[in-house]
Amino acid sequence: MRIDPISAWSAWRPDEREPWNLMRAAHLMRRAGFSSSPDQLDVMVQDGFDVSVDRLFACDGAKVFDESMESTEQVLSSAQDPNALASWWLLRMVKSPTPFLEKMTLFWHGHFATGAEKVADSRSMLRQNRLLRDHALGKFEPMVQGISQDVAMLVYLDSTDNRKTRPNENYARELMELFCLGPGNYSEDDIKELARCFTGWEVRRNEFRFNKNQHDQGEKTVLGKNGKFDGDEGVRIVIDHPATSDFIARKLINFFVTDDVVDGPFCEPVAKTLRESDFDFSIAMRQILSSKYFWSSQCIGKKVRNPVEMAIGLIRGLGINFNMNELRDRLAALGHLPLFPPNVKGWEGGRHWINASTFIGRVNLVRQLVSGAPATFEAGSLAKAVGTRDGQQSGDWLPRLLDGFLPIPLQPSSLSSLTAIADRNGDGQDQRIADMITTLAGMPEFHLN
Amino acid sequence: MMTTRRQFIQTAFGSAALVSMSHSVPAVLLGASRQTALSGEDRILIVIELGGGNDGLNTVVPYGDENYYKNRFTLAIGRNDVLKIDDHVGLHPSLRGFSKLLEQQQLAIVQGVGYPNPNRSHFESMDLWHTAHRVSENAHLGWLGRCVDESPVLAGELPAIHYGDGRQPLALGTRTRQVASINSLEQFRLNVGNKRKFTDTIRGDLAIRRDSNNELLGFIHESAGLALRTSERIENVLDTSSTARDFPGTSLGRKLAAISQLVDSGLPTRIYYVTHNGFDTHSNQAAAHSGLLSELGDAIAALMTDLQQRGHDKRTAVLTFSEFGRRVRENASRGTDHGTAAPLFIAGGAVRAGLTNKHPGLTELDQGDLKFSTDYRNVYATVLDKWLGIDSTPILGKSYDSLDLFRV
Amino acid sequence: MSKLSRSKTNFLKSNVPVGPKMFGRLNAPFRTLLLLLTVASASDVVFPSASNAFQSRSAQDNSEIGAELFPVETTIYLRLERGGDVVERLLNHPLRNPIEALDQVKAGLKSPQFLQFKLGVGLIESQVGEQWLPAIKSLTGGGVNVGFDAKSQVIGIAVKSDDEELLRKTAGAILGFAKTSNKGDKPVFEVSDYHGGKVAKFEKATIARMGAWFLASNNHAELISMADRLHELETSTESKQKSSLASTTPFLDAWQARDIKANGFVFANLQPLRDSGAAKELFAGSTDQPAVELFFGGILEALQEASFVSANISINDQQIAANVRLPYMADESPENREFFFGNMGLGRAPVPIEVPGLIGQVVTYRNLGSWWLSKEELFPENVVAQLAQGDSQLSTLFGGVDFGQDVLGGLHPEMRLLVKEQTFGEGIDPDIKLPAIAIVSRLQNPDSERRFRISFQSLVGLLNLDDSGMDRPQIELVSTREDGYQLTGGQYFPEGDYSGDLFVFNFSPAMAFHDDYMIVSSTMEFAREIAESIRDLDDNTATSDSNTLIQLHGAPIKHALAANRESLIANSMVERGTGRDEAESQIDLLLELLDYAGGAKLDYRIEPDAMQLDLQLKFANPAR
Repeated sequence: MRIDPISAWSAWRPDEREPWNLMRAAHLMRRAGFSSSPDQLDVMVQDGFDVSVDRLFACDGAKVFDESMESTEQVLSSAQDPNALASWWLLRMVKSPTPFLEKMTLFWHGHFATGAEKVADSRSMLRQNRLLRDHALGKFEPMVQGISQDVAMLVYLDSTDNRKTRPNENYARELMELFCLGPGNYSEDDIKELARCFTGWEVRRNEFRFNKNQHDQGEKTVLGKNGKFDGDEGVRIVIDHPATSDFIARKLINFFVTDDVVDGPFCEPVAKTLRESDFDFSIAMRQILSSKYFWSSQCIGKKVRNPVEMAIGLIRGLGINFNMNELRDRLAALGHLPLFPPNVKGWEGGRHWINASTFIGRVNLVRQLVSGAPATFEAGSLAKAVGTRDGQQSGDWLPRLLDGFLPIPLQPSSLSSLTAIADRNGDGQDQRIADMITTLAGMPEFHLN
Repeated sequence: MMTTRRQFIQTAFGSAALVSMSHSVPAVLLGASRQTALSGEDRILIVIELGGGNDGLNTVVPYGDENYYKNRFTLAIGRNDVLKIDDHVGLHPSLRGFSKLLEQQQLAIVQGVGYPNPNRSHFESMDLWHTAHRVSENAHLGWLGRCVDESPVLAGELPAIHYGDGRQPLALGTRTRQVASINSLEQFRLNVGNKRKFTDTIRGDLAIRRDSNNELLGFIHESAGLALRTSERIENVLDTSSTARDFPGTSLGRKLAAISQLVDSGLPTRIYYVTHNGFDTHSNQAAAHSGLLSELGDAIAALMTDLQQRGHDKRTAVLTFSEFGRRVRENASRGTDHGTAAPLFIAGGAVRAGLTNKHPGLTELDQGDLKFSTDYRNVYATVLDKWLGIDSTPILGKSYDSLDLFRV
Repeated sequence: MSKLSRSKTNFLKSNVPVGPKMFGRLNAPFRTLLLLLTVASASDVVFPSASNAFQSRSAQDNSEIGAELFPVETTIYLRLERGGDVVERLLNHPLRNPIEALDQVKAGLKSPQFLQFKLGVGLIESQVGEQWLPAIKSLTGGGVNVGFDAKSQVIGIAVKSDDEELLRKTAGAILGFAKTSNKGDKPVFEVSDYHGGKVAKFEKATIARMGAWFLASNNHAELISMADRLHELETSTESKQKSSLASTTPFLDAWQARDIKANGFVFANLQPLRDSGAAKELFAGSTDQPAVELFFGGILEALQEASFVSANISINDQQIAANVRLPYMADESPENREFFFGNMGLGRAPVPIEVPGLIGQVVTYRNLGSWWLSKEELFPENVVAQLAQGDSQLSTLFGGVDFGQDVLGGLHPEMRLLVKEQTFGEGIDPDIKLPAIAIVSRLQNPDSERRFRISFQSLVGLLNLDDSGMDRPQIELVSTREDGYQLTGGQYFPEGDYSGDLFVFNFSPAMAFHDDYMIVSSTMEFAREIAESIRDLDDNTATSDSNTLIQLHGAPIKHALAANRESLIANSMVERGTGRDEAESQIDLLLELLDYAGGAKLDYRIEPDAMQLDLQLKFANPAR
């Protein structure tokens, strides 16, 4: 990484050499959403880069959608089956008019990883999910303060009891190591002292409460600061630590921009934006998504498509109606089921998405999504979904489809393999196109993002 | 910031870097070296959790002890029914599979395994077994999960597999890496319509070189090839081999049959984990326990036979454990309640067969419970240090002596 | 059909509906009759001339021709009488208008596919010169016959028209239509003359018109052989005739027992099906799934040997009814399935109880204790081992009482299962509203009442312990002596600050005892209601004629589903991956259609020589 950080994170503008086109619109939607159909991408190209980015951040249009989901999620969470809630979130990702907000929520869910199986209370999980969505594009402190008193989180981290005489160190440790600072920026004493700030914080009957009698009123020393801190103040001290902006900037960049390791100095411009905006994520994300680095060849195609991106992307891109319970089981086998992170650290991501079992699973899932039953296509058929018209050869529609799906071009020989399948004699058109997309899923390029 | 960065890179990306390095070596060569060299790096551990608390006294029966018959007035196994090991203890008659393994020098029995201040809650005792808890650490990490996170020995692809449905066992709980759960070998089977055509096309496609500067693409390119080959091998085994038929049709039998096929497929996985539940026999224990034990013994015996035929027996060890044994005295419902120490078993072609450590004995009891003679962490240390070649001290947070359980 | 066989059928008919209650009295004469029947059908085989006499007579009576056209190995045979009537009935059904008025159906009727279909029909109508409905009525007036051979996958169709001329015109129009819609350069079919009729051979099928008959098959040779048989039947005056499905004993048995008033008759020849290896589990005679054994063990018993299964199907404005018959000698039922059949096959379900507003009720004869205790004979070793584990766990749950021996074994085999929508207390409105469910049985030993009650109390205690660990509301137990019955039940109480989920309020588990009756219910209210119904029965040990009887009532089902509309919508969205609007209209359509569901009844009876399954689907005609 020998790029100048300042220039890397400065604003990118489309120009003649790097025009705003379908491929670039697709890159934006794959990273800051879950892909879009070629037609939607065309609209973005016409509207231009600025309008398209603005639209990502405009979440007003989601009101009607949110209302339509509200009673449904209520019912599904009262079934007390965390699996049902996972299916529901997947449906939300499929249908949401504000996919960027969902993607941000998914990011924060991985950051504040909480497993529904252990929490064993769907309502608490739903509450946490709403909290993350409410703050996903907002500010860090209210989100961290909220998550610090979030029932699901505290249950997940075995921190439902914090007594004066026996401070529970779990939450204090994770707040510093996983949520704000990263390892190496605090000492074991800081953990012990911070844990004292959280004494009296309890969960009873799936509600958070502060038990004054159990709070340690004494003086604490946390990260070099002294005072009779309570929990809220403890959280604020951690957030205010200089390492926080660096840590969060790096996590955002690794989730949205590149799987490559990025170091502190390189991320500093983004960290600076975070600090100067009081950790306003809509500002920081705008910087990231409009940066020269994000739009450079160093980043396009430099991430592994995660299973959720792959599945929801195909579903949104082709307008598929698919059984979310089935999808949930498939994603679980691929190791990426929302609400069921593998551990407190969330999904490791990157190359870990691909192994001998998951690669086969990914291809099989793509096959199932495009091969009709139990899926149906909003356009009526797969052929219509990919944008063909009667009698057209693949040359008329395949390039556009691939531009929308792939971050980097295929090898010429790969392209001709696909063309041969799509244009072969015999079999219905949908069958041929399904075979073609399945074959595409077997090619390495498909798994890049 | 420099230390932070280095640490960050080490913890988060160290394993990824190793994986990517292994992919720069042609997979064929890698596979070949795996087949031939039988060093510590090739050894496999299969852990079988006996959930519910196995009645150790009726598993390895102290038939030479009068007190046993006094305390087990309806449940005792008759002297003539016991499969005798020596003149003091013998196996439950349903463990024919185990007595066969003993004859073949493939079974070690560690007696009296437990830990100080026994906990009689299923969850809490199971947690201890799963985590072998290190002080000053959150309790989300399993002893095997820590190995996956921390040991370079397990840095490769799919280091551990939980085979079965449901929640991943805490023993495999990791902090940074992800452990795969697989509930059917069908997960390795391509399901793409015309499979022949698909694989032919993809194989042809993968034969084409990609931009060598794109390292990530290179990684996926290698992985795709490896995945196709693995899938083909497993499918081949699924469709042609008689393995599944040679195993008992029980739930555990099916799981171990699948694991045997995975081992044989050349997957780099080193740790497999399965559960065998139902040992919480508070009432009407006799028939239930007998069924559970024969399922256990027959499945492991079938596994060892199968592995031997395929030449994997010397590199595989099977470890069983249960959260606790049961009380010495049976209860009024012809069952037994939660107790303490119990024997555990290690099967394999390289184990030092026979009894290890003494039976706790029924005379010196602690509030009606057996006193443990072997700490379970000594067993873990043995398995890590002597079998998997993983330094047990950082994993267990302390140095524990090894037992003499392996002939390696 | 011969007079003899018809009178036999009539005799049977007159007795069957009377059912097992009369068997007690009529047992001896009935058995004699059965013997006669068996000899008569056996004699068809033993004395070929007798059977030929029957066949030639039936062959002369042209309206009876059908099964004679298909070969002996035919596995499935279907005959529709007055097919046009069925179509007309459906079209004139009072349900038609409301269904067509539904938005989704309206859209379907306007779809291009449907309009194209209508166009094709119109074209043929104009060529034939008759409206399609009356045309179909007379074209199928002589019956529709379909034969299928599972092994070769050959299917044959034979339809007899009332009006030969109409058939000629229609066939011509269809061939003409096929010719004009052919876009290729090769002709789509070849026509030839055969036995004075016309045969048209298509690529994958052949059709023929022979006088008033229309024949079709996916196999040319089969069609020719059908034509040969038909020709022979219609021209030959000799009694000699090729063997056919109609000459086989299983078919004759089924045919003679059929309901001549029914619209349809289906026959499946089980031996060839068993030989073909299809649906092995169905014919294996046993299963390794205990629940399947419990519910269907007796049917598996019969299916492994029965030579055929047949069914009559009737449709009218009020209902669709099917009567399925499977031959079985009940008095030969094996001991390990006594739990299902009862001794000598005489196990009978209790009569249903009248409780207002029921969603449904199942009454059955099942000896649970004997089922559990015969597990060694019924299941393979690994299943027995699993059941032993279950036994151990359940015994623990029931406070150490032996589950198989004392719990299941303590119950009479006459069981009832009742389901009813429940009402909730003030301010309690769970998102998911489960109906109340109750199991009603009688105790072998009324003294065991106390033991059951104690088990119930310790079970509730366990639940409370678990709930308290999870910070959930707890159950308070009450035990009262009511007028004529004893009630023990528990209720959840929402504590002041309880803001959690209300799902648990679907349950207020209860037990009630009256005489030797024991009622276990998911709600106290339901237990009370059932206990009172039983208390008020004149004879609470009366049995029905059935082994199992299931009743479902349309209106309460709809009501209970409508109460869960939001949850149905949510599940539909998730399962079909659609937005809310689409799911809403789908669920509302379902609920609307349920307005027309009157109810369903399934009556499974074990008769001395056969199992009978009567299925009725009743329509409702809601006032709107």
